[in-house]
Amino acid sequence: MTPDAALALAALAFAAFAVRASGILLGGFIPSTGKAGQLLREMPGAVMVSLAAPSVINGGPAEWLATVLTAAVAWKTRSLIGTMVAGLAFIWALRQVV
Amino acid sequence: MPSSLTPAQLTWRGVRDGLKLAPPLVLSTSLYGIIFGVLAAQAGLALAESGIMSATIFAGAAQLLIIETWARPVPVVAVVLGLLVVNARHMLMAIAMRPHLVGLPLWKQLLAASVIVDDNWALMMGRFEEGYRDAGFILGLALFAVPAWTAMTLVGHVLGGGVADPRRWGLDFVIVAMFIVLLCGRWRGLPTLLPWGVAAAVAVGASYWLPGKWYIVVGTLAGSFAGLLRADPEGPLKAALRAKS
Repeated sequence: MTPDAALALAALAFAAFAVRASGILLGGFIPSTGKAGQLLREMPGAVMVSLAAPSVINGGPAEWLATVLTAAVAWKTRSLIGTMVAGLAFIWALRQVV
Repeated sequence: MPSSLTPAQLTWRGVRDGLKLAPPLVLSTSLYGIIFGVLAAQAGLALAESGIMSATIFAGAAQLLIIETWARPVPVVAVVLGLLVVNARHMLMAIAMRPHLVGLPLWKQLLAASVIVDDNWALMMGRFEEGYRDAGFILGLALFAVPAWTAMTLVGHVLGGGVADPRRWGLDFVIVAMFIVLLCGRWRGLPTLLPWGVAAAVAVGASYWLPGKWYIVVGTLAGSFAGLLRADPEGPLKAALRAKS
């Protein structure tokens, strides 16, 4: 393994633990209310949208239709694995025909 | 709120209680691990890199973002920033769990927090709120999930070499599907469109104008700050619990 990869993996392992530990160590001090807390709570949704939107929008009709169908399955079932399998089936089928 | 009559505990009995409820979590973690392994191989990670990552990070969404950003040489700052952004919720979850752990030695509190992921945290908090006091429960949930996540990552990575073009099998869309279902859990009515619409528009625009994966950072910041213009939907604990219900 190259030094840069080893450094990245070590830093990631430390950061992953530090984020979880920080809630315990700083729990009394971190604002979980007010605007600072709200900003933290807005982040996960915003990051997921930012990750997914370009690959959907910059895709094509197959991606657009598969996204709508997958969202319907996700909304109905709320099942992580089920939705991932359904999404895989939709995009595979749509790319055959579109 | 935690009962003041029973002190916080972390015992083998709690670990056994967690183990009883662990099988469905271990199964879904394993399937997801295979998918992550395949995608990691596609992204050009070495087998050891995928395995070490799964064993030490244990967080699917963050790892997917990391392999998306992975390059040679590895952009250390970018991958760590990505993890911090995606895993910021783990800090909120630990903050919410802390009142139920107070009284335990610090190392036991940290041990319980170190295995937090969305699903085992939600189950643990549900128990705590019923008056259950043993944090061993979350360790029992994670005891086989972490090794399974790591082992199935390696299996997927080995299989991944055989899946020549991820697009051909639609594997590139699996991540999108995962984010869609996670986002459904975070939907809080029409005002939700404000942060998400801004994030989407800025990310798509930035994907044309900025190099690499910067559109993720820019879109996230724009969307998060735009979200401050709506009323705060709810507190961190309630929000996270509802997201998993």
